[in-house]
Amino acid sequence: MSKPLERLLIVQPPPLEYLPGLFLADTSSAAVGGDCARHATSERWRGRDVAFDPCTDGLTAPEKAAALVQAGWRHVAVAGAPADRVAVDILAGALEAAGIEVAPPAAAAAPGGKRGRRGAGLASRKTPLAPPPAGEAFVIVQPGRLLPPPWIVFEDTGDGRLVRRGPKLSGALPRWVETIRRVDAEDDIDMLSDVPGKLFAFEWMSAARRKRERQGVTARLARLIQRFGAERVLLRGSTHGPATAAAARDGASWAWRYGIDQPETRQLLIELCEECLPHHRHLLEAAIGYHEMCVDPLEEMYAGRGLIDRNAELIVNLVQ
Amino acid sequence: MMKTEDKYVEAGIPALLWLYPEIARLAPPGAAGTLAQRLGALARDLEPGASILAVDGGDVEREILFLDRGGAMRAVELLDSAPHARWILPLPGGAAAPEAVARALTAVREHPALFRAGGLVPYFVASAPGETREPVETRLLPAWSAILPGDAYPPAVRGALRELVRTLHPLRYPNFLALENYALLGADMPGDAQARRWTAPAVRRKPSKKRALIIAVEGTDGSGKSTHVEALRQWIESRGLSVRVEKIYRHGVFHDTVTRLTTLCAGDKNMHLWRLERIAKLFDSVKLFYSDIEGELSSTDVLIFDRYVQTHYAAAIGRYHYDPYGRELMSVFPAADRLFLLDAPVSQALDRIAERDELTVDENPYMIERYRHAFAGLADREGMLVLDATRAFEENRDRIRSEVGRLLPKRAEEKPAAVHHGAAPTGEPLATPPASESAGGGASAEASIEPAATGEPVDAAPSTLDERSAAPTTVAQDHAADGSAAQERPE
Repeated sequence: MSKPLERLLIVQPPPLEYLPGLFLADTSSAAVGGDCARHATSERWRGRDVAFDPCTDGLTAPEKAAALVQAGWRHVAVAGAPADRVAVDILAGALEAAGIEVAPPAAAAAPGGKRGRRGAGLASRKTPLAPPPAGEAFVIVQPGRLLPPPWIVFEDTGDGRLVRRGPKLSGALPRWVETIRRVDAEDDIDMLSDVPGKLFAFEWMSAARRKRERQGVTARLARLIQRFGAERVLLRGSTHGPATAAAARDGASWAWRYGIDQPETRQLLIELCEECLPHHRHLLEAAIGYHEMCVDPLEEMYAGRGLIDRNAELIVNLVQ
Repeated sequence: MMKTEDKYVEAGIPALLWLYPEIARLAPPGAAGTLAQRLGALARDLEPGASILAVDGGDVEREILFLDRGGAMRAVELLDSAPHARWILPLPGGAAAPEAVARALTAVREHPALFRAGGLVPYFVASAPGETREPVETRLLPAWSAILPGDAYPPAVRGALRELVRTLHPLRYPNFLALENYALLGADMPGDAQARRWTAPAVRRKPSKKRALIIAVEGTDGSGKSTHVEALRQWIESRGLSVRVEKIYRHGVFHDTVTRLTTLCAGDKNMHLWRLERIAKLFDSVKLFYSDIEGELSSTDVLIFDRYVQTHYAAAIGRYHYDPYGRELMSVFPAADRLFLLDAPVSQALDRIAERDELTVDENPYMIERYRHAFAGLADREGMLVLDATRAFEENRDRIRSEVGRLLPKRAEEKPAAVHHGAAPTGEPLATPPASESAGGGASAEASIEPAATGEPVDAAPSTLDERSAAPTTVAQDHAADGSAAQERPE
């Protein structure tokens, strides 16, 4: 059995988004963030020294680890959604390298924040409470479970809508967004109601393998954009990839979230962009290219493996 | 008519758009000039010192603001009145950049939430279309215009710029780091990706009726490649086939040059030289192809490569996270008939490397782990058979023999025709497998290359094999002959 922890910090790596203007931020990851934040808040009400840090401060994993060491954190749990798996591994590795004990289990938790609960149960009541790290993270909570500022909280109403229940900070979403409405590929676009501040998240992946439906999907997205404007429409990425997806090939979990790792979904996505969102076509091409070239620039930078970060180490044998 | 995406690629603007996709609508494709130039045109009328331009939707609403307290308060009003507004921060490039970045950083630090909520986009102003200015000398590719301030990017300025972006857009910070990384490296990765440069162009060459079987063994330093390659060479030779071992990834030839280039990058200076180091190695491999390998493809039965083009790919991915020009240059090499990847843990590789006299630049735990990761990512798409190097040597050796043995009969069946048409004078060998050979698919190979079945004289083989035995069989031996072996080191 693990030894009791004194202070516990639950951290969630930031979303590493390759196509932020095309896809809605990962709602699965936001749900994990909401559960962790909610859990840390309730633990603190019980007098346990538990805090949640959504890592929205823009620090890379090694920088974050160094900052946490400086702040005196010795025990940290890392949470994340399936699409965060690579980032979770990077952050956990950086924390361990900095001498921080990463609370078990080390792998990413499924949406629901089981990681946070298990780790938080080990926290002690004896130590003074640490201030909760401020964040402007996009998190999702269940109905009736609110969080205090500065969280950007969206409440999952259960009917395909997420409704803002927090301050108007930007974070991963434009600040004008009040409601996120999930639009399925089968929905009648003309029947959708419009209110100011509504963002539409278009679900397109399910039809990718059914050729006959592809044309219909494109037409519906075009109609959606025609009715509400391109700025108010984002695509919804996959939230639950296959169990082995993150470890498949080059570990590009972002590729399956955007659907560019499978020929069917990739082709449909290209068609959607060509027909309906031409301004994003070049960015999509770049993301597909990264996947084909086996490069993950955001993960590399988040891990502190940029050329500048490692230059000294890269030439170490030559200098010697 | 030029397509939308082609226009973007041609204009070399994907980097800025990748970081700030929302500004695409401010300067739609089809207009003249790059995005930075078009944004510069929007900001052209700003008075000296003006720093923020508010643009609301398609209708440009110009508000000249200064990054002082008064400007910030005015910005609050604008944010409330125009929630859809796009905020851009034109910064002067060149010598004025350090002061401008520092001033902007100070203002943004005072009101981080305000400017973050407004989605302020900082970029470096370029000249507008039709505007004549002194050209800025820079090593940066056009794709990186507006991302870094021309050639004035000493570490202090870059540090302030990083902090500015991190404060304004913390979630995009990794994106900016990536763009900065590739800009300093001198590679246009987003542009290359859009141009589909990952698909290497096929080299137009005369189709060859006969080509040597190409076997390649890949792996990190210390994974045991050379040992397996030598064992495989002996095994194939014992079957009567002519074999040559080649290394296209040579440490020796440009070693001094490459060393000099990379040491010049110390202290984060001249980072673009990293790319030259990579290109120097790529060109060395191309040179080797035309000087040695192209001829051997038609004069040898089997070519075994101790590292092949995939090592170049892995080196680029492992070191720079990107492969600039590698696939294009390496496309002169034909695809290997069989690729093996010897996967060794870093600890084991280091133990083997420790026995060597001298280390290369890549022989350290960090780089070996990086290369191992890169090879793992490439294994699937390059069709490599992964072998666990921690297993017994004999086990992997037999697996390699089994795989190669399946390919040998086909090649051997093709041989009699070549001999029949008078290939012997050019050194064409004949396959004469020893009767005792039985390992890994050897039985079928023996049956198919039985000399009696071809009607060719058996005594033709010894002469050609003798000729080959006098020739060097490895690259190291080749270089020993021309006096350059001193630079070659075993991997």
